[in-house]
Amino acid sequence: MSELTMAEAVNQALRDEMHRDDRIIVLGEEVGALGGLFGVTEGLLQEFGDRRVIDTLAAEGGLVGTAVGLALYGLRPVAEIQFVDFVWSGFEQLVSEMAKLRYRSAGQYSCPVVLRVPYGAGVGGGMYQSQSPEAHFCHIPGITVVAPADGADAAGLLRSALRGEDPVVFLEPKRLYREGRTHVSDEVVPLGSARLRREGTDVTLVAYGSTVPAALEAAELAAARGIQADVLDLRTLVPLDIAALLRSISKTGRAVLVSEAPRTGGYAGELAATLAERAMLHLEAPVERVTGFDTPVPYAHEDKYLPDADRITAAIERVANF
Amino acid sequence: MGRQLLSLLSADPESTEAANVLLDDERLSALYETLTLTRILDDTCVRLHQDGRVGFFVPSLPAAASSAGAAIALHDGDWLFPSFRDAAAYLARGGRIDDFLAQLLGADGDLVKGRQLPGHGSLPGGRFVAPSGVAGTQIQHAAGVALAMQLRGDAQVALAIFGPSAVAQGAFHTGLNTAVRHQVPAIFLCRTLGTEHPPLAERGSGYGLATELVDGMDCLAVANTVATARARAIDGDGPTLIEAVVGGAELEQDAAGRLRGFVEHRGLWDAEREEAFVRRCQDRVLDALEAVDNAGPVSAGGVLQDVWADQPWMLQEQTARLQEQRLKDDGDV
Repeated sequence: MSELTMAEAVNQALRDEMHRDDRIIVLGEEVGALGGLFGVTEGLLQEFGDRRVIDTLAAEGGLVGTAVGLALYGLRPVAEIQFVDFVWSGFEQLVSEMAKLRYRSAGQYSCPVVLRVPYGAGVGGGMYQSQSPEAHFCHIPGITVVAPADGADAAGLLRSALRGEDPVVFLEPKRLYREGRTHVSDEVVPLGSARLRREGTDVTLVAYGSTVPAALEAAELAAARGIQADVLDLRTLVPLDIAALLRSISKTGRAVLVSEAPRTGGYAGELAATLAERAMLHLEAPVERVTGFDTPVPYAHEDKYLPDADRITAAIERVANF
Repeated sequence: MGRQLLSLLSADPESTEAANVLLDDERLSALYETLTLTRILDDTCVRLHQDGRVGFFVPSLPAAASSAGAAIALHDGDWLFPSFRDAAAYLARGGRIDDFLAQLLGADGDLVKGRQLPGHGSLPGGRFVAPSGVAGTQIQHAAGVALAMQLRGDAQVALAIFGPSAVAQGAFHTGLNTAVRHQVPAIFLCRTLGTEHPPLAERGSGYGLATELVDGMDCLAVANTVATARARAIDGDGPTLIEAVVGGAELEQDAAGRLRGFVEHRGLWDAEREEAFVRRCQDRVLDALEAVDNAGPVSAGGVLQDVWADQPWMLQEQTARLQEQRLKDDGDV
């Protein structure tokens, strides 16, 4: 089809799926006339009308709870949270309702809500428009957590999410919305499948969402120093593509795990624990995490907070030379 | 201020009749039967609780009148989001005694597989949507379901029932805001002790909702109010907030007893029917208890199901672990 930015790719996938399934309803704060804070829903109101594209009040609890209601009734709501940092007032509905309705009703009811959530630092958003709290979502049974790193994957994964039967938190790395273009087709990318973006033999570099470009850059820097890295883009955090992870580790025996979230209790720790449980006999060096710091995201120094290619490359070297 | 508490039932059936009862005879009989069955079931549950067979039980009384009255005024296709005191609504919406008791006692065959606290059962198709343990979240769900009904052009309503603790929660605010903004066909029924300050009815006006104040111990008044709110919602005139005041001198009086005179006056009920119906209910409760005893406890096999539609690998693996553990435990015995 065409070369699109990630923002355009998500827009395209929404448009295609809304044509395909009239149960899909887009809702959120200023998703209509404004087209969303990042322009991702641009043009949908004009194309589908105000019964398919609904501006809601500025209250995330109301937004998530409304989406739950729409989904219970059999519709397929796609709710946009303007920034993931605003999700907390909707967390009650997310944790206690959206995630648990199927279980507590023993399958009488389900909540196929897709929450589209721009996340991550790198756009000068300060501590309330920059966070990367994916670990919170990953810790809620019943929620599928997705984090694409380019437009093609974003479109393909969103199609899967919209055709699924369960709630999905769809984390969109906002600093990549307009970084680069990819060929976007009508391909459906299955949830729970990682993508090996670069093949190497010496180290496995695991990244997802916003940190994939830095990981790829670091892999090239390392290659210049004679270290060849696999770069595994997880694409889905829950469920993790465990087979792809173990396949790569059993080949390289060394792992660097990249995440821009705070380190303590983060998803990189979950990956490290998984490797400790299942890959110990393959490991030839301690696993390294390259993460954000255990601080809020500092406005004027977010470049120092974020794991960049230099920090990742240094970790690759330590692990390779252990 | 000064809003009149709507009451219909009085000692004199003629004056009740004069107040324009909206339920037809079929629904009136169903209402009386539901209240009678609720009382019998409640007595049984209290006994089971006293015997230590049920750890947690919240009696339906004094919520039964408003619970049954509201539920009986709904139509097929309407959705009900209950609180955890709504056994009467469960029965009014077609819930079976067997299923209620299986859920209460965690018996095999429990429709929600032993996952929820006693009295937190669920019926499919919106008839009685699984309540959570969180106050007020269902207010927002009713607004969402009602919005879906409106978007699909379905002539139905969504009703949420809740108590005063939910009024303090954010979902009360966002739910009412959402409902008013989109003028959805939703009804919000709050049971209070009539001591809310400011009165709930005044707050409803502040949100821009039609608001009604009704005697929550008077099942006919509640049914009339919900039926009126329903008609308004179906006509596209938006949501209604109903404050049903529970308590007063009638607190100890059983809701069926209060309705008895009126259904007799209508010729729908008499002593002979009463005796036969009560006996049938008691038999059904005893049969259901026996069935629960025969069924045994709910299987642990469902513990790791229904989290996602399909089990992801982690849960498949955890299921295998659980099975190994159970085999080992069985081996130890």
